[in-house]
Amino acid sequence: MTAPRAKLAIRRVLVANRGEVAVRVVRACRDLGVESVVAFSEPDRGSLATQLADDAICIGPASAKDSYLNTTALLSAALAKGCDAVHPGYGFLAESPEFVDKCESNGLIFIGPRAETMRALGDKLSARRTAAALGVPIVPGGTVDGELATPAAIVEQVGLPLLVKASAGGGGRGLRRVDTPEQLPAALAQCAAEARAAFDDDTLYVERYLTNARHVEVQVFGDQHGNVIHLFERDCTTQRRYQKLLEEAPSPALSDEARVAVTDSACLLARETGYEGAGTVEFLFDQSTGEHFFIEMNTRLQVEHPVTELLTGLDLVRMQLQVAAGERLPVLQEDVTMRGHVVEFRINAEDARKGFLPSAGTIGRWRPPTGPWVRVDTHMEQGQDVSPFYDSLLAKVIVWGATRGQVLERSRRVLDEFVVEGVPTTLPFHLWLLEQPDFVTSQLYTTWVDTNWARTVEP
Amino acid sequence: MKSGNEDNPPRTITPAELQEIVQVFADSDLRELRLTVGDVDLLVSRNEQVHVTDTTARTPPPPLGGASAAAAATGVTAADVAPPSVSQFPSTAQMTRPGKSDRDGLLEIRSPAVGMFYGRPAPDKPPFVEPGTTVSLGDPVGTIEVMKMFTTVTAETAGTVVEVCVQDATLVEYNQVLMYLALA
Repeated sequence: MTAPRAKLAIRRVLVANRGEVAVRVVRACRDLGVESVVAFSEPDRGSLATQLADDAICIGPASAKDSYLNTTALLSAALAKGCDAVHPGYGFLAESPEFVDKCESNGLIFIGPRAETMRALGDKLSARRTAAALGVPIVPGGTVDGELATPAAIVEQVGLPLLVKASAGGGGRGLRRVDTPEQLPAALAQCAAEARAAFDDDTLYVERYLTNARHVEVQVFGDQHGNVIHLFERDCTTQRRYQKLLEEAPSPALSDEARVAVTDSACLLARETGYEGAGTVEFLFDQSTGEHFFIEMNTRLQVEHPVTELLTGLDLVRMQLQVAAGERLPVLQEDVTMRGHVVEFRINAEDARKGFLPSAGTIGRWRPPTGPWVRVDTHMEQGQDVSPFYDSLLAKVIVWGATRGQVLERSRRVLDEFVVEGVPTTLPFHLWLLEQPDFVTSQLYTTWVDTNWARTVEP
Repeated sequence: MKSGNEDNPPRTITPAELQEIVQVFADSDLRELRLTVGDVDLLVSRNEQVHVTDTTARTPPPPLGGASAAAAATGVTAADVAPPSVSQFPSTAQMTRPGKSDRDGLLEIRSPAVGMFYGRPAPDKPPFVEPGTTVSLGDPVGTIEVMKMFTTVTAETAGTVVEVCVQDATLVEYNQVLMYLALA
């Protein structure tokens, strides 16, 4: 892969994003000999990405709606600067099929999946239907009617424990947990009465409640020639209120058989939907039964993609550019191997002791860790402002080791070296985490942080 | 270019040379150029900064002059100080552009969007405004085309146009200064 290669069909990329991912895309472009133009908002003037890119252009004020979400300004900038492709990064417009359509109607290559695929997979409900139709396991459940009309049928088909909720409800309203078959009829009756009162609609929905679940996601990649591969999984169980704090690979919870099952499911979904580019298929993995259930698909590059890069030695952003330019995937499935263990720590400008409250300010001292076995992806520099307008990610620290134990050992050194002054960060949380026996042995589940960190800061 | 020789001991950059340097830079693909000639340390950059410093610093630097003007003509703006030998000999470019200090008290009119700036209502029509044009509140001073949609830029106050910073039919960024007005 290091041999001289033909020029890419893409010559100049508009980077329609900010922060560390903009830097990441600029770097991949530079490696490929592709020019990059960074679109930036007024407060991001002078950011690292604008310094490293071949060109940069201000597209609007701080408010994302008027800049990074402003499709007209982005397209105008791309065309005026002579770009032939747009990289959306993650977040902002990365999963907007409307933006994909607009890029294409203006003759610009959108570096990501086709709009049609995004529509089929981006929406959670339609993705669930698509998965179920393909035989990819989804969390068992459904509306209480037809085949699921009786308590006996529900227990049989959904399994226990389960949740009963009003179909019309949201945000946990009218939610009941049922652990035994005896509890179910009463729970259904009460829920229906509440739903009728609250929503004037007593339709109920039941779903298996996974008490001991891990968040396991599979990195997939497709090209325009029908090839689909997976790059193994990432385990994102260490999360707080569904916000990922730390990702690692391989998942400490997956057996070889479970890994084959989950990556097969992911590839099936990607292949059957004609997926192009980088995507992530998210699953809940039930540690009690070893089953995996599809939750949703992210039709874009993920924040945590470096975990997979260090695990497999593949450059995901480079591959995104290559397949968007119409090239074949540079590797076959059998060439994709994983080596060692990788952990990524998200260093956010958040006060972990105050409910992970995001904070803004100016970076005083900034000394990111260096040395062996660590990669730091960041857009921050000493003296930079941490803007209150955007997400609070300051840096991603990714550590490699031959074993998970070695990664944790190195991570203590690496995180200790990281000095950030001026804003609170999640560094103290990660240092605490590294000392927790449950984390060291990976006895984790998706609500583990919610339960255990709260106990630590508010004893 | 030629720097000072032995018959000409104080090695510096003449205004003509500076202009030539900036022109060569503007025509190149370079992003940044640093040049030290005798006591003059010159940094030309596309990151909207040009520093020209006299490292001997025997005298306090004068306000911006030729260096900034020549640079501004190529699309970069001057930020710092210029050595006396440069600033005292204004370049041709400077004649059409006031230095930074001359802009004190002037009102900026900035671009409301990234797009194409047009200084004329139509290619065969005279410009909306020129240096010296008196405008009233709400008068059109230019248009910005964004994806075939035209937005009129208007004067936010009455005044006299001192300088139009952007050429007709060129790309402008969001918030880029289009022109300066002297308040009426």
